[in-house]
Amino acid sequence: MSADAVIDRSLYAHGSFRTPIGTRGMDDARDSAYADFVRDRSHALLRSAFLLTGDQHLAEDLVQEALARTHRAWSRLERPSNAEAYARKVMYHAQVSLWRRPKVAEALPGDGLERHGGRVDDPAEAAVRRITLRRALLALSPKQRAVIVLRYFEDHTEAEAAQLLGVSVSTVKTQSARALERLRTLVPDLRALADAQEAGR
Amino acid sequence: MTGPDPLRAELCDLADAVTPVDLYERSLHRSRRIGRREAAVGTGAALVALGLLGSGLWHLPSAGPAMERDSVAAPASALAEAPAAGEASSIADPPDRPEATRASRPDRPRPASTAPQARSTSLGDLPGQVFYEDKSAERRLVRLTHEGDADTVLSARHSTVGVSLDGSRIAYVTDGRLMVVSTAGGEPEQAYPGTASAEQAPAWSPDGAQLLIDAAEPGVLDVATGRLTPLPSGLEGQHFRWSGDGSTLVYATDGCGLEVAGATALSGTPVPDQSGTEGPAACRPVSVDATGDLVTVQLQPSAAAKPTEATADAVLDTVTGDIVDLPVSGKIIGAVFDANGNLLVRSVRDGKTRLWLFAPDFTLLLRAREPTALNGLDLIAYTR
Repeated sequence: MSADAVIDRSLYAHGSFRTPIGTRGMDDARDSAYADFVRDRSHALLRSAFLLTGDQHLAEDLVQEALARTHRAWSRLERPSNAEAYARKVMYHAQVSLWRRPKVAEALPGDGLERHGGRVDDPAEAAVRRITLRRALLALSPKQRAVIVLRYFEDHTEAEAAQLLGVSVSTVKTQSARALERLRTLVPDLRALADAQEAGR
Repeated sequence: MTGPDPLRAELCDLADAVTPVDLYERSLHRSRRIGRREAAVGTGAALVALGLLGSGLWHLPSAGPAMERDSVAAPASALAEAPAAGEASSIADPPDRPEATRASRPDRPRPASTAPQARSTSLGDLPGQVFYEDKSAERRLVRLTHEGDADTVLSARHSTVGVSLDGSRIAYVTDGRLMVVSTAGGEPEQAYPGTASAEQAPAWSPDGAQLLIDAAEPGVLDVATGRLTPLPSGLEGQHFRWSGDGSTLVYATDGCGLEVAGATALSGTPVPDQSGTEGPAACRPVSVDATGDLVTVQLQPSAAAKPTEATADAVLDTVTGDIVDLPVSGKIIGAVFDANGNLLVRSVRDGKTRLWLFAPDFTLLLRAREPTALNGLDLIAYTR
């Protein structure tokens, strides 16, 4: 998961996050392992969820659901290292599932896009570019968006993405091609980027 | 924008916009809730199985004579429409609603098939207050004045909003905080510090003393004391709305079906036979009439993708699941009940927008052109 963000551990260090406490029905070891997992990986999950939903609150809801399902399945997970894969699978299925209708948000004005520093010198240009990309992502179908996030944000192979989404590799290829084409249309600046990206894969 | 992996870099940059939050307690809370629901489902399924075995129904021929409809039709429909095991709790725990209202309802008033004559065509005769939301970048809330102007009553940034049933107060969510402000102006006051909004806009109780909000899970907030009482775990859903008399809650399930529950019930019951709505009726009930018998919903397919944004375009009977045909010309682009069951409908035809006000018996009280100042805004509430 090379795209995962560096977790802002200072939040924990300064006590902004509550200290995990024991819960009924879980022994201390499992409780501690789950707490460690949430502490270490929830922000990475949140970043993917944000790309899937386009909204802070919807992303939190999505990750909360994925974590809750993971918590319930914790005893069945053979190794704690499987937890993140399980949580991501729940998350993607919840967002793409037919039963759970896709939930995405329209961009709200100034809703946190400039809270974090960008990589470019001109913050205004970076903010505009983020908004444009965000709107373009929201214009994709849930499955297309999931494929883009899995392939180009989380760096999964087509086979891994197919396995995570529970679809065939050819479906991933098709959805990916359509999504990239749509992104190229909606974000002209991405044309060259996506071309380069595709050429490299 | 150069670099070896530019698309990924752009996605990473966008993902940086998300704010870190502590999801540990929230996820545990949700996990426990799922556990309670699963336990209820297991108990319900066992009870149903025991009931069937005990009654001997299991060996009845499948094509037997029609059963007594008055007593079994509604539960059978509810059973058939339950979209997932998660809703099975409502089968085990019957709804807290009068049984007599569960059958077909020839006694209920319904609109005439043709457009009736309106008692008034003057917007000035509109007895209540109409609220609209500008969902563009400004995100403001406006009230239609009798002069036909758009009077801004909320300009604070917000994600969701609810107008009290007397039109005097607005509750809105901003940055995870629930705020309340008078529509007459003044400083907003924080009513609750931790509120999610995506799946539950603040919904005022009829008396204005309580707000149904989503604080990790749906609950009823006493506005005066700040005390939050979680809804019973059997009421599993989102977008809860009160009926005008406060007796009934209507809400959407995760699968975008509608359920109805008495205000003090421990579980809800699915609205039966929503097949006429091309599947589940709605992902978000918008407003409920005085008694909970009728609800305005969104039927347009695009609404499913953005349930919190779309306006209502139809009225659904929560007892039968039927869509009520409204004698309105043009395309319906908004429909809201007030607490007394009056229905305000907004339609557009040939570029002209009209407001239609129906009494609870569907007498057409008013039909009037809507001022152009409100073009592009969404109808969200009609209050006293």
